[in-house]
Order: sequence, then structure tokens, then C-alpha cells
Amino acid sequence: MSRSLLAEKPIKPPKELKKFFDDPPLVGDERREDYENLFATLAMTVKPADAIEWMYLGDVVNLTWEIRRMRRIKAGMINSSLEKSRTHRLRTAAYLEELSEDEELTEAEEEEAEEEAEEEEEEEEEEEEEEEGEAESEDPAALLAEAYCYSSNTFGYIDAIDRQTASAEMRRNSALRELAWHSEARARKLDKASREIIDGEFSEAAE
Amino acid sequence: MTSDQKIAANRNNAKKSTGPCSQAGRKASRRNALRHGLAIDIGTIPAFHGEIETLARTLSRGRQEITECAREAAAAELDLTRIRKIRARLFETTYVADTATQDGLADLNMLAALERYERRAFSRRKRALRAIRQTD
Repeated sequence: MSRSLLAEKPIKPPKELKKFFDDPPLVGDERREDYENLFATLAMTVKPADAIEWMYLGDVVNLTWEIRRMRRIKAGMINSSLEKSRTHRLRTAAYLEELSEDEELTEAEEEEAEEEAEEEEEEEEEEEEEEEGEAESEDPAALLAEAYCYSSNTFGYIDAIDRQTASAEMRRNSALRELAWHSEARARKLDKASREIIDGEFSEAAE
Repeated sequence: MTSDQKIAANRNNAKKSTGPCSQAGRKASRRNALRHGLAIDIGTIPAFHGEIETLARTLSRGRQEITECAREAAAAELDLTRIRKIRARLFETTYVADTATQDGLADLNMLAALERYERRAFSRRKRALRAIRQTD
């Protein structure tokens, strides 16, 4: 069940600054509502006292959003690679099976074809059951490692995504340091709240 | 070493290529070096002057005069907002839109390179905001 981010009425930025937060830099299917929810949650946590603090809050919200976006992209890449690897394994297994079937059929033609075919069917069923069992008991880490190896092109992308995430985290920390220069208590609160959201503690923001 | 004859030939050839002469040609070539516009100082664009003044007044907190630091901070804030939007748009057109290019990795690295403009604007705003606080 999703946990609500907002318990009280949201605090709004002063009207002179509203323009800066009105058009968030969203990408693809990212929802404005989710962004505004994140913004309102962090604003409630910090309760900015003046324009300067609102500016730093805006930075942290943007960068928190960006970090979450990068993490989602990375997870998507790994999952897609995993899926490709699984499909590849299944196709290879099916191909090998087909090859062995052909060989057995030519032998069977020399003897009693019908009886052999029946036996083979039974054997196939048994083999399939065995394979399914093997796949279920396979180590997930090994499967993930295989997915990485299978899709070598993903390495470059994941590396680039990691670098962008690290850069966004550095910029977020810089914004928090600057906020701390102006108000240490608020910066501490904002840091904690933002980290919790990035790590997905609030399921509503994580969607 | 380059011979005198070669130097003279180069100079003669250079006289022949002095760039576009017509108004239209000069107007078109003015934007030759423009790639994304992120390096442009926003304070020099008249369209942003009004917004810079409004924000600078807010940052000056009811003082009679708008300080130079407040203007600098306001310009940097506008720059940051603009840069973030441009980066998001580039990200969108590179990866999400139907026209997304094939060389995604190169584009991703290009997007990462654009972060330096954001860092630069952030530093500018940081210095200006600290100066405002110190004069409070």
C-alpha cells in the first residue's frame, strides 16, 4: 500500500519565485503530479524562510528527481539485458534439442519409426521438466552476470549512467552544503528527506 | 620552413575568402558556431532583463537599490533553470522521441558534458548569494 507523502497543506513558494518551479524539466512519461508531490514533500520538511532557501530547495528537488531517473534507467537496462539473456538461452536450448531430434529420427527410420517417436515424446517431456527445475534452482547472481556478459554493449551505457548519477549526487551535495552555509538545520532535514526519497522509502514518490 | 613564395600565395588566397558579404549570408553565418546556446551569458539577452530585475528585487529584500550581487544571483538562477530545461529537452529528443538517434552512448556522454554549464551557473549564483547574505 502506498504511503502518502503529504500530511499537511503544502507550502507554496513566493509568487516572485513561482515561475521558476512552474515548468519542471520532465522527460518521457514522467508525471508532473509526481514531481509536484516530491517538491511539496521536501518543502514541507524544510519550510524555506526566504528566496535563497527556496532556490536551494529547487536545486535539491531537481537533482533528487534526476538521480531517481538515472537509477530507473539503469534498472531498466539491467532488466532488459536479463530478459535478452534468458531468451537467448531458451533459443539455444530449443535449437540443440531440434538437432538431436533430427539425428534420432534418422536412426528411428531404420527401425520401428512409430514406437521411437512415442518414446521420444516421453523423453522430451521428462527433459523439459528437468530443465524447468534447473532454471528455477539457478543462482540469480549467476544469471545476472550472464546477462551482463551477453549484452556487452550495455557496459558503456551503464558506465555513462553511473557517471551521470554520481555527478547529480555531487551537485545535490553542493546545493545542500550551500544551504547549510545559510541554514544548517534546514540543510540537515532536507538531506535526510531527500535521501529517504531517493532510496524509495516513500512508495508514492518511487512510482 | 615555409618559403616566402608560399607565404605570399597564402596571403593572396586569404584575400579571396573573406566570408559572406550579403546581409542574408552574414545573418546565417552569425549562428555557425552556435550549438546549444548554453555558454551565452543570459544577462546579455534583453528578453530576460525584466525577469532578472524582478528576481533581483526579491533577493534585495525591500532595499531601495537592487544590488549588483542580487542581479548576478538572479541571472545565474535564470541560467540554471534554462540549462536544466535544455538538458531535459535534449534527453527527450535523444532517447524518448521517435526521432531518437542510434548512437545513444555518444549522445549520453555529450549530455554529461553539458553538465559543466550547470556547475558554472551554480558557482556564480553561490558566490552572489553568499555576498548578499554577508551584506544583510
